[in-house]
Amino acid sequence: MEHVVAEIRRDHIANIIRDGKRVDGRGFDDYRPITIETDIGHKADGSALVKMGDTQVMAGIKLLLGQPFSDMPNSGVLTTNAELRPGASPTFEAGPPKPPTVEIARVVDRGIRESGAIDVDKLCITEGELCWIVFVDMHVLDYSGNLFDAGMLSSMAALLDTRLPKVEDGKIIYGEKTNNKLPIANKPVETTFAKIGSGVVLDPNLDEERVMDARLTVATDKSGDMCAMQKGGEGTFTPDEIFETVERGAKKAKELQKLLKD
Amino acid sequence: MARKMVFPGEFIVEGDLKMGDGVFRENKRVYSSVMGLLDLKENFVKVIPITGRYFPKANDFVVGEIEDMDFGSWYTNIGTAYSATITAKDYFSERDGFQEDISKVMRIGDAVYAMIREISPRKRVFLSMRERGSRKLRGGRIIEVTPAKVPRIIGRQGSMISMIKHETGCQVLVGQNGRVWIEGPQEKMDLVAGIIERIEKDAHTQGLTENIKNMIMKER
Repeated sequence: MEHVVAEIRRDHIANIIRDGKRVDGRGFDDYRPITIETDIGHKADGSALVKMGDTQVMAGIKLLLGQPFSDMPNSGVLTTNAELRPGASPTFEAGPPKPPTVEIARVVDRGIRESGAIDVDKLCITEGELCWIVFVDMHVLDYSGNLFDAGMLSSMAALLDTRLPKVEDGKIIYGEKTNNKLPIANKPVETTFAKIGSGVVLDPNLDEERVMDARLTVATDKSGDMCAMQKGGEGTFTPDEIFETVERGAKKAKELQKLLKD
Repeated sequence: MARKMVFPGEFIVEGDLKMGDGVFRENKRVYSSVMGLLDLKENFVKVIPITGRYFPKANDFVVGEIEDMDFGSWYTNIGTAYSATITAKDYFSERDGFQEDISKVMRIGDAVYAMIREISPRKRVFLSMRERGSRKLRGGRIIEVTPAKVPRIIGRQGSMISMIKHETGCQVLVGQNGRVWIEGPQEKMDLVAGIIERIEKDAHTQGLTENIKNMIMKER
C-alpha cells in the first residue's frame, strides 16, 4: 500500500528546503554517511553491503556458463535483478516484483551497461556457444530512501569484488574461486536528486522521498561523462534544472567513485 | 534503584499477581513479553518497555494522519499495524450538526489529535474527535519519538510538557503513539524539536526537567 503523508509534514519539509536547509541538517549536495563492505557472502562470487544512512542494500554476483545471445555471439551476458525485502519497509510486500522493484533493477542495469562497466566481449569464451553470464542481485535490507544510488554502489562494489569461479571440463566447480577478476572497464555511479517544492536536493532520505514532486537519477562514469538517466515522480524539471542537476551529479560522482576500491 | 532488565520470554515470577503491561502468564508463571525494565511489587508485576512500537490503549490521545476515507468514515495512520477508524458519528456532535459530505471537514492528508474511544474485541481501533482536546491539526510539524519515551516528554503530572510550552511559547501536543505536534515560529519549533530529541536520548537520567530547563535558558 502506498504511504500517505500528512500535508503538515509535506509543508514542513518544503518550507525548510525553501529556506536553504534540510530536515536532517545536511546541505543540498550532501550524502548521508556511506559505508561499503565487500566480500560478505562466501557462496557468492562477489558481494557487497552498502549502508547509506539508514538505507542498506546488499548485492551478490553469481557467474554461470551459458550461451551468448544470438544477436551478440561475441559477448557475455549481464542480468540485473532487485529484490525489495518485506522486512525492509512496511510498504514492501512479498510476491512478484512490482514497478518500483523493476525500476531499480533497470536503472542500475542501464548504468552498468551503458557505461561499459563490464567489458562483456571478454566474457565470451567460444563465439556463439559459450560465455559467462553475470547475475547481479540486489537485496534491499533496509529502506530509508534513495535505493538507486545505494543499489548502484553495492552492485559496482560487488562486481569489483568478484573472482571468477574455477572451471574444469567446461563445468564450474562451486566453492572454489580463482584469482581472476571480472573485466571491469569503468566505474559508473548514480546520483539521485529529489525536487521538493522549489529546491533540488541530493540523496533524499525517507521523509523527503515520500514528499518529493519528482526525482532525477544521473549515472556518471569515471571520466565524468553522463551515461544514463532516469526521471521519476509526477512533478517536472525545467531544462535549466536538469543541466544543473547533471553537473552537480558529475561532481558528487567523483566522491562516490573514490569509495569504490579496485 | 536500578531496575532489572528483562527480555521477551524471560521468566519473572510465579504466583497470582496482578499483571500490568509487557507481561503474560502461562500456568501461574509470569514471563516478560518485551525488552524492558522490570517493575515487580508484592502483588503487581509489569515491564516498562525501553523501545518498540505503539500498542493502542483505550482513552489514549494519539496523533493520526488520515490516509483513506469513504462516505461515512476516515481511516487514520496512528503508527500501528492497522489503521484506526474515525466514523462520522465520532466527529460531529448533535449541537454543531452533521455534514452530508464528510470530505468538507477532513480529507486525506490531514492530521488529527484524537482519543482512542474503543478497541473492539477484534482489535480494531476507533478514534473519537468529540472528546475535549481533540482537534484537526493545522500548520506546524510532526516529529516522531519512541512511544516508550512519551511519559518522559510529558513528565510527572505534565511538568515537562507544560514547562516546554511555557518557556518556548509553542503549542505542543504529545500523542501516546510517539508523534509530537509542534506549532509556533520556525526557530522555536526547531528548539522544541531539539529538546524532545534530547529528552528521548537522556530519558533515563535524573533531574531531567531541570536539565532541559537549563538547556532552554542557554538557547535564549
